Amino acid sequence: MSKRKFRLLSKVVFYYLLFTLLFFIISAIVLQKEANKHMHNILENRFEHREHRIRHILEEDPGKFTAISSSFAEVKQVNRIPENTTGSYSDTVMMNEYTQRENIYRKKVTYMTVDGKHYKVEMTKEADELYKFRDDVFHIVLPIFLLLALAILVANYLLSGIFFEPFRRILRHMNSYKIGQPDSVNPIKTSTYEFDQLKKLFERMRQRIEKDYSQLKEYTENMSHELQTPLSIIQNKAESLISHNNLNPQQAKQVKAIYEETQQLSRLGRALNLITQIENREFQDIREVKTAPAIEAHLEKIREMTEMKDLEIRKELDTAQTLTMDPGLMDIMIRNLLKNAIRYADHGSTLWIMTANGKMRFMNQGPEPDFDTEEIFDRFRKGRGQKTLGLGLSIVKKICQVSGLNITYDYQEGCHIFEVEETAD
Amino acid sequence: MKLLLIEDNKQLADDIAGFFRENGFVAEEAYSFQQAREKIGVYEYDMMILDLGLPDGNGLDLVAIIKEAHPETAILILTAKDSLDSKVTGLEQGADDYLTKPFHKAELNARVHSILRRKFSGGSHQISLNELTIDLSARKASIHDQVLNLTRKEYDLLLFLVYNKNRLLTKESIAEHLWGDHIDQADNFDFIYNHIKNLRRKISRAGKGNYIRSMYGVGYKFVIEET
Repeated sequence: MSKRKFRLLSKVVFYYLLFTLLFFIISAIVLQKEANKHMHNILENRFEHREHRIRHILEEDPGKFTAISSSFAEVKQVNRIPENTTGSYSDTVMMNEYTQRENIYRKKVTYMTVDGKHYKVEMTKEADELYKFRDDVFHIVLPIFLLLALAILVANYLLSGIFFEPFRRILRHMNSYKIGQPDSVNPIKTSTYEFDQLKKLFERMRQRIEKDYSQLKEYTENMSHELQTPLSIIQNKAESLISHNNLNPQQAKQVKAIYEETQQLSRLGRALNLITQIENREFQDIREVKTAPAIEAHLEKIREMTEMKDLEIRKELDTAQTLTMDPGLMDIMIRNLLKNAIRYADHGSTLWIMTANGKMRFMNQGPEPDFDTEEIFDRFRKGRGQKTLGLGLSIVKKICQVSGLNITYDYQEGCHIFEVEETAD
Repeated sequence: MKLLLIEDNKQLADDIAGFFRENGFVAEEAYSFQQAREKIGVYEYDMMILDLGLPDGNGLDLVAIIKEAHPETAILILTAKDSLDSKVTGLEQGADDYLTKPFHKAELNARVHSILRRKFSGGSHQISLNELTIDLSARKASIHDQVLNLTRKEYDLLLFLVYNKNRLLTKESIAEHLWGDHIDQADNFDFIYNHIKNLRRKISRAGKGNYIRSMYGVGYKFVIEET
């Protein structure tokens, strides 16, 4: 399917030129035919004129013909005239006596009867112009065609810039379109019917997509929102039940399960809510935030967790490094990356945190992921046997997307490596 | 202490109000914006717990109304929507704290106590429970005047336990109180046990028995009979 694609205008011009060429060839042939006919008539006229003179001479003095030059006519007396003697023509190349150049001559053979005697008359006349004219037709038509083709190509080149500009703008717009962006294609002006149709169609499509998307978002938002109050009640009731001393171990276990699952649900609701808020760009306090103090603060908060796993933390922090983003989002991003690093780190292993040259790198030793690493930022993607929601990294990814950051994941020599970097634009 | 709880879900309102009544509060409930406004107009409250998502009005407007009627009233905002905007606006308008649903009652209790102590302690920054004394401004705890050498986390844990004395604290609520969002429910809570263990050891070294009881492996209870 990798057939070469051509521009519409190039295609139009190509076929236009092809048809023009065909038209020119046909008209050249017709023109030449007409010219031939015309020349033939002129020659025929002259032959008739000469025939008339020969007849006149033969009537006056039949013996005179020996004296007349052969270039004028050759006259022979014959016994009888063959049938169908309307006259026959043939073209030959002969040397012109005066110019010493080869020319094309036309010969007419005819018969006439004068005073009861039959004669065969052969006349030759130069017919060079006839052929020259045919060549001339091509000599004129071809340059005109080439000139026309050139003009069309130049016009195509110049006009496509103007005519197709709205089209290209619409394309660029479609290409850069991201869901959730209120950017309309309407300001693009065009007087071309097709482009206008395209624009309107895309605008309608965009509005429909936006509507569907916002409905879906609203649904998720309401869902996770409305869940919180009932969850609060269940959680409170479960807590009250456990607080009572008179539960038997079996009952306590069951209430504990209810309690824990409720917690999981409420976390899910909160995480989805957070994602929606990030998508809605509710975090707009964008400024330059230093990364080092934020990382240090988080490391201090999670000290108990790292100590429990006997993790050694090695950090190389560029104290001057800043990222231009919402501080709240940076907080969530660093927290989630650290949480992830600790969760998937081997017991007693090392955790590296490095910031330098606009990059932030989190690296921990741990077993290779048991899924395709391309999916690592997908929602609900988590390592086997992990009880987490699997939303932490997709939240990080979302944050990067709205903050002009690029995040990559790599697994090298037993290490999980996450790298956050500011994108060029 | 007089408390007004504004929450449109009656079940949850009853739960929370009941909880505070057990704790010796006079707790009243309002289930709508209108009802809340009427109550505020007539009575004076020390504390107000306010759910922002009311069916007939924006809870944030109530903050302004209370601040005008009784500027002294402490306000804690509850919301299902973990939105930064309403959080900032709420605090700007004079709310004292903010809690997202769903929450642990123990957390709510600790927050309410800490707000009330800040506002109404009248200079006394001490909690005394029998032989245990907690100096809130110095962040120090002592038993029989013998200062316990506690780490910051141990001190926070003790305070949380004391605020919620004789009540079950689940491991989750402890973890969330001490480590906030750095903790997932799925995480291993063994380090909480370590903290509890250290706290117990330090208290018993100061000559007092076991205050902290383990409950069904779900959490802990700080048991103390006030004399």
